[in-house]
Amino acid sequence: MPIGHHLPGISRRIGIDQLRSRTFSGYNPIHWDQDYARARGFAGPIATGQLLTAYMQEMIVGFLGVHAFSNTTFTCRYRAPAHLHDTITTGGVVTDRVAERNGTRVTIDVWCSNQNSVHIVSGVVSSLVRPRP
Amino acid sequence: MIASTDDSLVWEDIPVGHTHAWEITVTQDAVNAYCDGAQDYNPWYGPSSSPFGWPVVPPMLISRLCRFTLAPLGKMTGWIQVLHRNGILVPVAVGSTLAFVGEVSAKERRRGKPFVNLRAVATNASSGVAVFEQTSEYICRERP
Repeated sequence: MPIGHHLPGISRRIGIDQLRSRTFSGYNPIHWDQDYARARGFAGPIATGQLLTAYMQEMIVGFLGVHAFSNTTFTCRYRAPAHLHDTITTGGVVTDRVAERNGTRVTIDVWCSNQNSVHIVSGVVSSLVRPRP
Repeated sequence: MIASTDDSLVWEDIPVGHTHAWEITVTQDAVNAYCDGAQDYNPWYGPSSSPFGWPVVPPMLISRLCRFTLAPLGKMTGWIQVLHRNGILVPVAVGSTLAFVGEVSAKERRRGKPFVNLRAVATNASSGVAVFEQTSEYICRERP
């Protein structure tokens, strides 16, 4: 995991099934009601930010494996909305490695961008990668 | 400005220091619903096993389950999450019961917008081990 290494990203198209999903929608009509979302100033229903974080988590689990499930912090700032039918692509780059007593602390800058290459989420993942037993 | 519905919370009524505790058993059905929503079908999430020896809960599902701090007061209808920080402490087996404690940690106006900060910690209800912690920030609604 050298500094500067770019993680393989994933792409997902946000469909109505995602916006209405039991886990990522709930009762908030901003995620599925066109008129309500427009009245709140959006072009249409927006995805919950945690759906985008879930996309980034998939990328992180693919990269860190079991290390992504412990001793990890995942900070995200949602900068712009993701709308129905947007295509979201995740990205990440290793920015730091620090030796600790129980392994190596790896820092990864992560983001989501939309089909217009606008970064709509930015974040940082910090994870302790332990040596294999 | 959108009129507030009966049970939708507004910034003026959010009490800093409010706490709420709840328990949730993370079933395979709940994990499957998460996987469908996220379109993430990692086999580690079940029903087969993972390198941990059992199906493991996707950490961001636990993040979603942290959102009930304000549930006794009303709904966060129209709120927009702008920041969250998740601490993923230990892996959690599917079928575990998690005990959550949430708190309203702060609220303030910045650049004319009303913000509320929430904090939640999840522990394994059987072992008492802390498994997940989250701080989050929302832009919420104001009284019309």
